[in-house]
Amino acid sequence: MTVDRIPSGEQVALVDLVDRLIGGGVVVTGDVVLSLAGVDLVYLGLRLVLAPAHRVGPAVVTSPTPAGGAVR
Amino acid sequence: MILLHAIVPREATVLPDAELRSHAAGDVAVLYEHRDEPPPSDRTAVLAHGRRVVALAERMPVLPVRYGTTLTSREELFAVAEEHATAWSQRLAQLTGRCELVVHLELDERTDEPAEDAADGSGRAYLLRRTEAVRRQDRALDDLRAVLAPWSEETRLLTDQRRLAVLVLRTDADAACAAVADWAADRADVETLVTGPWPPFSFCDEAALS
Repeated sequence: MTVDRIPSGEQVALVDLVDRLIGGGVVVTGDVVLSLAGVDLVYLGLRLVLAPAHRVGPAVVTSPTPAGGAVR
Repeated sequence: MILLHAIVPREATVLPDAELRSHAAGDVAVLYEHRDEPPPSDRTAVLAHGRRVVALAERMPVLPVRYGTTLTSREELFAVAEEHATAWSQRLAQLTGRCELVVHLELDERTDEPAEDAADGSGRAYLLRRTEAVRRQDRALDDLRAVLAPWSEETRLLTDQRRLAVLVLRTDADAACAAVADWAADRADVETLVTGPWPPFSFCDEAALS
């Protein structure tokens, strides 16, 4: 099993949180202002930010992160 | 302007901080805050908002509102809440005790690389390899859904096609994570990672609320 593609659990958790905050949730229609760019662009951007840290980081966890342990 | 945070049961009256206000409509309450300017779009601000929503979800059923959703006035808030209160209440009841896990799935992509003996190097050969890669990904996702079936009540394939959002009972989250780990351990071509538990971000879209 290779271990060099998925960044560490903590980083992934933060990306997931940002991604879901912007790309998920209740969408209210009407005169609503969404102040951010499209979800895909934001997510891809964060992946690019994560990439350098991932390359220089330690070996990567490949088993599931214990639920609740990633962002607190 | 008004920045929306989340929808919670009406009886959940304990607010986590002084900035949040609550507007009740039907069986639900909309948590919001007044702002002079649009919410910032930097990562720190989004994460701070996220941690607040996560903390809420640990204490009560929550429908998180997409970050950055603002309304112009309290009158607009009242109208929006009145329009959606029934659907929000029904969905909150369905999501009580549930959380979202996000399962990342990465497949070994060696078969996507050009074969050493692919002398033709044609576009057709490339497309065939890509087609096979997509099929492998689809098969792996189907396997993953089957592995999680005993715990997952709903799933959503996220936009990058490599993450599966899974709705599970909070009490089942650890078991679901362990099942994913066991499945991945038996496959040399798969990497997985699970994050969460999260509020049900992926399970309060328009389809779920209709």
